[in-house]
Amino acid sequence: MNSDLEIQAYLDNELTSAQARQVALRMDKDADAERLFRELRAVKKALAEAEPEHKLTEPREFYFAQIVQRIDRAEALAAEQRVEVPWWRRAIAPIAGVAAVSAVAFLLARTATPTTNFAQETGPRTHESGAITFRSHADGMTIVWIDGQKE
Amino acid sequence: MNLEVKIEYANAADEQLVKAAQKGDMAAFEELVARHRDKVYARAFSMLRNEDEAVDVSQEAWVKAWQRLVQFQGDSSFATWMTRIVINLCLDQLRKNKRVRAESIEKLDEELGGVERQMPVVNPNPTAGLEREELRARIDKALGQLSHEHRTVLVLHEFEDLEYKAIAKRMGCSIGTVMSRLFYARRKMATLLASFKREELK
Repeated sequence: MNSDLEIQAYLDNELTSAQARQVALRMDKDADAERLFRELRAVKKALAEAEPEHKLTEPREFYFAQIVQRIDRAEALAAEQRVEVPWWRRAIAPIAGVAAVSAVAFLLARTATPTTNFAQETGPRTHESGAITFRSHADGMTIVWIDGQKE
Repeated sequence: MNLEVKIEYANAADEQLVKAAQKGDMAAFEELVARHRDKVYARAFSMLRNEDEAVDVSQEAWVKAWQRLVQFQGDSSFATWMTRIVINLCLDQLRKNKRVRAESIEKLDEELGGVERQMPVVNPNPTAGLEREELRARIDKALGQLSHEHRTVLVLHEFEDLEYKAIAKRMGCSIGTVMSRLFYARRKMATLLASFKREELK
């Protein structure tokens, strides 16, 4: 530590007792060091005794009304943010996104299957017998309805 | 039956007012503001040296206090707690201001090797014989002539009684920098306090 800063640290009680003894000894022998110490001490004392006073010029009611206005504004803003984006919506937003993408992908996959065949595959095959056949390529099955009342 | 005890705000202790304000009593909070507003403003002004900024930051400190009042446990006095809030806001403000302002000549001096180290002691007691009010005026004027870095260290050390380590933590710098700035600030103050002429202070 610089010797001048040591003198200051001595004044501010920021030294160990061993360091403080050394600085005190030095000041006993060194007149410049002692003068510096006195100057620093005088400034410290002056500031402690005569801190400048500054008072607000605004009347109490006016000053407080402005504070209340700021508090209200801050609370309104916070409430607005809470309404706009509730925490649970922020939390589930990524999950909902993934679910939406999955749903779209699923629908696209479904429409890619030849559903147009559905109409072709459904219909009375044998008008005379009154039987209706449904065949699904996708599911690999065939269903036949037979109308027993038809002559 | 209403068991709520009515508070006489003007005569109540700070602790009582704080407890009431913590429950949402705005009138109790108003009384706290009325009691401590000058001190909070004075601390803001001592650091910022600008009336408008000091009013703005002091009001912001009260808003923060209201919002965080439930966190106040009474480990320190309410006045100390408020002063901490306003000091932190001032430090934020000074950092913001610094971004749009050129570095001061004094800061450059300090970084270039510290001219203050070579300054001879002209008068070891620069305030001798001054009346309290004159001394106060001189100190005020001298504080206004320091760079904000030097003034902040001086205010935190001399008016808030913070140790080097606590100042370094708050200002985000090393203890060595705090010591160097404090040393410079004191030496500059000594020179300024001795040099002002009476008419300059009027």
